[in-house]
Amino acid sequence: MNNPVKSLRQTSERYKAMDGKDRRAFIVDTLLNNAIYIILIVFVIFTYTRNSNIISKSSIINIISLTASSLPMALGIGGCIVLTGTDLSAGRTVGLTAAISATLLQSLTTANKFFTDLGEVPLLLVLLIALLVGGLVGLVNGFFVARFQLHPFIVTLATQLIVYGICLLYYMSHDNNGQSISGLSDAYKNAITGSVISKLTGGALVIPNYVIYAVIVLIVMWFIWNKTTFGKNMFAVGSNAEAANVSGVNVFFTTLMVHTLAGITYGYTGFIEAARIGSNTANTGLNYECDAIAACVIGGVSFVGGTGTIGGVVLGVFLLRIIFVGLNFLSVSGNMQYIIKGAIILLACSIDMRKYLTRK
Amino acid sequence: MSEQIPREEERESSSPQRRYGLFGVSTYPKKSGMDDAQRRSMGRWSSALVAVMAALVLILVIVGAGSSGGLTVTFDTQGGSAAESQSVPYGGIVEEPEDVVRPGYTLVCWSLYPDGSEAWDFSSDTVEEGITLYAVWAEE
Repeated sequence: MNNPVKSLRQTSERYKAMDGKDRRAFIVDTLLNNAIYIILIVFVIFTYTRNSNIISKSSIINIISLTASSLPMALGIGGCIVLTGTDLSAGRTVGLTAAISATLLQSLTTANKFFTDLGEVPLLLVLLIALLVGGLVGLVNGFFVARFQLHPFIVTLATQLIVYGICLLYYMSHDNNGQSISGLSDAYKNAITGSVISKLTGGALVIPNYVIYAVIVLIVMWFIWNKTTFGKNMFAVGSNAEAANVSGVNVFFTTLMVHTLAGITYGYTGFIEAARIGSNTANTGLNYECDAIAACVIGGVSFVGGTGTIGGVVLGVFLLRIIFVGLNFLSVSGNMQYIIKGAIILLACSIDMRKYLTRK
Repeated sequence: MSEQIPREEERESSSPQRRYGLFGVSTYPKKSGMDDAQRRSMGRWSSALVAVMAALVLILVIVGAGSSGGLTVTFDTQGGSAAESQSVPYGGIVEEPEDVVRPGYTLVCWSLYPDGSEAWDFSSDTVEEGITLYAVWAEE
């Protein structure tokens, strides 16, 4: 664990020991490597001058809630990126598990109930089913990548289409004919979007429950990445698969489990999103993986593999969410928002590439 | 015991290296074949790229700000006197319209739904998209 104060002191001592030319290079280096954070600060100040609502309590709680909803997925995809791969099937898997969770947890008095004779299903059982379905998709991804050494891009592109097809078929079945699934049970909605913190603080902080659950997932993933052999193996395989293999790491099993773990996080995200959105269609989850991958790159999970921290992923998700919300506060039209988001992703990639090329 | 895992470029080996990258190929240039001058040149190129992209993002944000205008809140008084619509910034609150009357009825609340479920709290509810608020009346 780096002690930030100590490393700051060491850096300032190194700086004092440099001559003029080295100092200039150091400043330029620092500015460019942290360009995203600098842009974020400028962005928030600029937005505040245009629309002061961005620093209101409800806006900050909104940003924290949105971060919490996209964080587990980013943590899952981060594992795939550490292995120098990617996972394009994430969004559609979220859509499928959201559909399954929603149809199993509709209120008993809903008009167009999907399973007309289904009674109350325990929440934890549905969560388990969602995790299993997500994990199964991840298992298929991991198996094709690990066993046949196919490129994760192609494998997950294929599973993305297959999962989408299954999702569409699911929405057409049981006389539903493609309608959206809504009318979820109160117990389900209260468990996810209700606010225990609001009750504890007497209504002052209306923070939804899924923020608490996301923190639990965060702690679990931190433990897996940093304190287990599996986590160390993941970084070893991502850094240099051949050397890891020679060192006795089971590369097949590690690759398989990383993708399966990612799938499990997608299943969890689907379970949460179904309640958070309230009304689900086959397009739920569309393009979620784009935001998750962008967040990971911004957070320092390099595309060359082998590097990445949990804190970095959290920071990346948080930054991206502030920017997306901020663009709304700035009244930027939807069309321009796409261009800006793409430019930010390109910026994050070029910073990542620069760090890789200028590393001594 | 932690072992140093050497990066692939520094290792000399004739066995095939599996390297996926984002699109199935290694997207970043290999460092090992470069001499100092080449490396400095690549470093300068990538620094320039970062600076250009950062400036581009800032310019796009400044240019795009305000391009969609404020959010419009319209009031449907459902039989009462007229109320003017308001333009509210994203995340802002709505001002309750004054002097909206309907003969023989008292105003109960304003709501997002015509039937009056979920009253709109003018002091704390924020606007994130264009909405219509309906006046809910009760007979006197």
